[in-house]
Amino acid sequence: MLFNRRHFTTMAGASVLTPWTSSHAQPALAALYEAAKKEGELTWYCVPQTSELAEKMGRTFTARYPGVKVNVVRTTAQVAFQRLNQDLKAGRPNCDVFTSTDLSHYVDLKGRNLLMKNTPAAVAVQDRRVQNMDPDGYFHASSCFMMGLIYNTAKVSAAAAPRSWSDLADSKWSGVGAAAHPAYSGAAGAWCIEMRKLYGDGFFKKLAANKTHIGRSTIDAVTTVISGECSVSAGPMSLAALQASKGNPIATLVPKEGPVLILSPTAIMASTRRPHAARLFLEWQLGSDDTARIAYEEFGVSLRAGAKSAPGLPGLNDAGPLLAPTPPQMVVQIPKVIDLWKDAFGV
Amino acid sequence: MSKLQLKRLCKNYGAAAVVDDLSLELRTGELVTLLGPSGCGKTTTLRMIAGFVEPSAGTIEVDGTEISSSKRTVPPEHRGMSMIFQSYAIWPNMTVAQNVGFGLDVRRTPPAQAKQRVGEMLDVVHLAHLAHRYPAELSGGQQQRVALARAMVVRPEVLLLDEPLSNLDANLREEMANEIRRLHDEFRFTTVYVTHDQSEAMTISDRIAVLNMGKLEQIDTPWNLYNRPRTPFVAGFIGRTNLVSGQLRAGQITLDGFCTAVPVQQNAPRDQVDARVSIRPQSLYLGAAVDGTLPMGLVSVVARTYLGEYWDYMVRPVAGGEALKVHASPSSVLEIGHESSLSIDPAGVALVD
Amino acid sequence: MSEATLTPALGGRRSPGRLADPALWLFSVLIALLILLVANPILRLVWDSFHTAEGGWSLQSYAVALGNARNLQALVNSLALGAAVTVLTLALGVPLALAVSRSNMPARGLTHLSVLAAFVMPNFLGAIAWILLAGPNAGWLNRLWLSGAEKGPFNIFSFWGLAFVIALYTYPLVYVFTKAALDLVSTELEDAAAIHGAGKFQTMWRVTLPLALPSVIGAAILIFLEAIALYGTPALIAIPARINLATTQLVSFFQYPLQIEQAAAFAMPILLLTVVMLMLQRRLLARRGFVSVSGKGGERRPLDIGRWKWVLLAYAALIGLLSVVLPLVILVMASLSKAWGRGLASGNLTLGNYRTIFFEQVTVRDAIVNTVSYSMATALICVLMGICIAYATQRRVTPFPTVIQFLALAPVAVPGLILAIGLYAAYAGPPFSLYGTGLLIVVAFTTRFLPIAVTACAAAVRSLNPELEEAVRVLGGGRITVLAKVVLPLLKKTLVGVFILVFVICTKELSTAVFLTGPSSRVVSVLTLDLSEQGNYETLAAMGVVLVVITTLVVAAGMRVAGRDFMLRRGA
Repeated sequence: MLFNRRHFTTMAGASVLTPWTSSHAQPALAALYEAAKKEGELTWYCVPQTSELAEKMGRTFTARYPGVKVNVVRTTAQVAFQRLNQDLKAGRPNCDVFTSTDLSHYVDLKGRNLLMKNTPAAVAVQDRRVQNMDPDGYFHASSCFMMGLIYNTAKVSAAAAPRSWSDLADSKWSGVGAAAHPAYSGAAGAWCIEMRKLYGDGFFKKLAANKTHIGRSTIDAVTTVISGECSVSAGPMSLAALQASKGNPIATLVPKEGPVLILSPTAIMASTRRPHAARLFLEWQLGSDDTARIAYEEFGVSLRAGAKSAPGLPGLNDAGPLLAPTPPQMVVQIPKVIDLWKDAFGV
Repeated sequence: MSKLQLKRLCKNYGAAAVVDDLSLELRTGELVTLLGPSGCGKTTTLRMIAGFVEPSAGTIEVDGTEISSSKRTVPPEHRGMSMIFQSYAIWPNMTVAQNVGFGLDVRRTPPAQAKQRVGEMLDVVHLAHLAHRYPAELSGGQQQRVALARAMVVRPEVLLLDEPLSNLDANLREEMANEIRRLHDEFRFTTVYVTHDQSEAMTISDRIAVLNMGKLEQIDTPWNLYNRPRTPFVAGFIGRTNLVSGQLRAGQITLDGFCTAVPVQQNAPRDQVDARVSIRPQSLYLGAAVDGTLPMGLVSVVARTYLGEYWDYMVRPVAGGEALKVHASPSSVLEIGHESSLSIDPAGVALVD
Repeated sequence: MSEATLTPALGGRRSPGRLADPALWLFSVLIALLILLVANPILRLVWDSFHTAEGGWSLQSYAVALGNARNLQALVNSLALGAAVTVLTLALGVPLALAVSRSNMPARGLTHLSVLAAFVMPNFLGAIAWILLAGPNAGWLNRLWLSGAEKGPFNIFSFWGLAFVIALYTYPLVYVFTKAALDLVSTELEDAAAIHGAGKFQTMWRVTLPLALPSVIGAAILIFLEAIALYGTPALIAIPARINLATTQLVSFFQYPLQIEQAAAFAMPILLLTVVMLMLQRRLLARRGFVSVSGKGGERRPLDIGRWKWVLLAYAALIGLLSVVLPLVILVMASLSKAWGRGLASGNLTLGNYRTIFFEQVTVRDAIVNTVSYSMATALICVLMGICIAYATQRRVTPFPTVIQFLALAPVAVPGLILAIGLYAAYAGPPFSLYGTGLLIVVAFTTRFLPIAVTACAAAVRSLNPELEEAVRVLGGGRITVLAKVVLPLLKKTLVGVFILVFVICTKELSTAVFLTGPSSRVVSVLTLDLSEQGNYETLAAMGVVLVVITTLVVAAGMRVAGRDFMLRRGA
């Protein structure tokens, strides 16, 4: 599925809102909750949120559905995938719900019959364009964020801020730029694919020559700018906006080529021992008011149809270019960009 | 009645034979000392009797039952013996009473009976007033006695002592040696005692086994060892002596430089051209002849040392020959070069091979 | 009473056959355990390296793992790092040991304590602190230095920055070895040199130091091996510094798809190198002619070094500042900040981070609990197994004592990360299926640290007069009675010391745990690494401070019970 701007605008007009509180959905949910209570808990491998936020979400879920505990395991995308595979190889199905930022992992897991086919009723409230992430219904879009340019307001004035992705390779920002390593971060992988499309294979060597600071996660790209260790970086705009609202010296902007859209899929593992709790969680994750509210508070991009984006941040409905790799592109190109990166940076 | 028997016992460490074909027999209630210089194998032998070391060859029997052989060795905890170590080995984490009562505890003696026996034993060694002290608070002599009490309260088959007095100072040593003998007389355990100090051995033992380089030189009563040494080593080790050679004919020996033949106290010795004899310095007399002595000839003083209790003179026959050591009373002062006649008491002469 | 007739309550010469001896059974169990813990994982690792994922015999794994230029560069980088760290630790540890052991430098007790503090501090925590201190743009030291310049002089994200941080927390090992050797040198040896006309420094250079040289070299070898096997600090500093190291490379083999055979093949050169260097070390230290090892070694007088004592004191103070004071200060400050980059600005101070880790972020609280409980369990098992093995081998109770000793000490030759891979290969999957359990972590830690426990217990057993034990046996007590009634009570203090030593080392351990932790069995070290990915240094610092506080309390309790020197002593 191609998420380019034109596609969105043509479909925007055709989207139809389906109210969440439809009468036949409620009793199904209640029954699911009863069954989930018997299971008592679920384990959630979570990548896109910070551990603080992930745990907060877990607590919010339990507050709404008392008796169902959420064990949060937050790591970067590659580490999460690695641990998931370790679990499976050892015959110990720990993970019930897997929410990550790397689409290629889901394609791979689906191909190995490791995902449970499940389409939550809540999918109906999502924006049409993200509803069919996987036509077969094994995984769904749970959240998304945009990668944009981030800069430290104490060190860089708004006028002097970078405007284009290629500025990261500009010698003006030598030694004070940051980016995340695609071997660890799924979002960084997607970003690298788009950069490669824009500027070719040589871009990574230029970044390395510009002494770009390497982080293991895109979240690191934000904190490193806040601390002043770096002045500019490529990172999640929502997190940057959240930190700015807390008074930290950071600001974010959309580069002229467009932000990179990172969609986070979510899925239930076929080996789960708590299917009802997992399905309940997915319903909640995709369609509850709690998650919508949290998304707004965290300056995230809401996937709900017709939702308004937070002030200053692009939403799905904004005009302007939007960069996003397709799942097949992710599967094929991520190993390639990892290799390019390792050759360029040496690690 | 034979209590402990060592039959052709050997112990080799690599190529070195530390104990070499040792055979020994102890009667019940006897105290035998293993005496010898360091390296002679006495401690190794004792540890083989205790069961800490396995023999390379030969056997050890107690009351006729074999307990050690090159094939199988009964471990120490099953031999029913007890041992006093050079370092006493009193356990610092237990009181005197607990130390002494340990063996009874292991043998599951009823507590009341154990308490009584411990009390009795502590009385015997005069330590009753220290029963609840810890070893760190005791003197060396007191620790010694704790070790003794501990070893004896269990009434062992064989009591083993490994140089127990070597860590004590000289005057305490004599007192403790007498103490050990007294206790032995009272209890009459079969005892094997190891030491390198010959005066200690003489004080304590019923019999002494002199060991040298792993071999048994001679086993005999103290008196016999001193007066009838049968090997040069024994003669030299027990007390001081002169080892000289001479012609032996018809039971009488003639030494170089003297014409008088001295009768040798051995039954029908063979004639020998080059026989070795041991002559005790105390049995040689300088100056006027004394009753019971045989005049030998003229000698001249070549060296002298005054030792307080006696004079140590080195004399040489005027007619030439080996020098001899003579012990004289403190009052007989002789100058170097002084010539005087030498007499001998034949009782102090022993033929050694 | 004067009857010497025997009441043979022991049954005279009843002697059970060897088979019924309970001591022998106990010690046989130990051998079985050792084989499970040590031999199996290492053998499995070697086996795997000669196979491919499909299962056939082949050298292909070696070809892939070692044929890649980048991988080989990683090995070379690690060797260079090892050498750099060794040089630095010698420069730090040897002068301090000389100063404390033999000179009249003031504040020797305090210096000794500062070395102890550096030992207690985990390597990865020190790395975090130094990132906060010496990050090239925002690091505190750089900001203090600056007065208008763009960048500060210190860049922690560099080769020498990495070597420096590692050296700061591994130098205590050099200090301990050197000091132990120097403590045995009698002053008479120095007096003899003085009478022959040698000045103070000549004496130190030509007499004192050479006597300690074998120990120093022995320690240097251990440091080298530890430096090339470290994972935590390299992950934090080397990646941004763009230095690929053997350990970070090994970890990448564990990323999907799992290439355990290649990881095993890549690990083999490191394993071989370790074994060779350890053999070298043993031969060096076995040359007893250098220092009389028995007993106390004679009288020692501190050497008067005149004005140099102030120089040494300044040096010691600097090291203490760099390794302990500065990092702790920055960690505490970061833990009390909302955003560490803002520093002591008003409105930045908060206790919120502590509230988060204790009450809100369950993973952090669980990790702390896990760390403490796994470390305690490991320490307990190590002490028990250690004393049994040490006793069995020192007193030759079991057959083949050298084999047991070899097995017990073998894990030293295997770098932690590689041992973890071996344990993973052997036990994570079926039939044992220990993956993700706390038991696997305890097994891994026990395997790794058993050599330390065995060595310390062996030294303690050697210091016991064997006659104390023989006296028990002669009176009829069996081996178990000997252990229970005499050996254990006498060695109580030493055993407590060993327990605490192993506990502290476990809390610091990262490389072994990094593969083996599952979601519910995470420990603080691994969690630190995970949290550092998010740049969440405030929470991290709070967690680190809590861990250091706990460890310090335990160590202080240990010092009370087992004496001031219990952790830095090499003998009993």
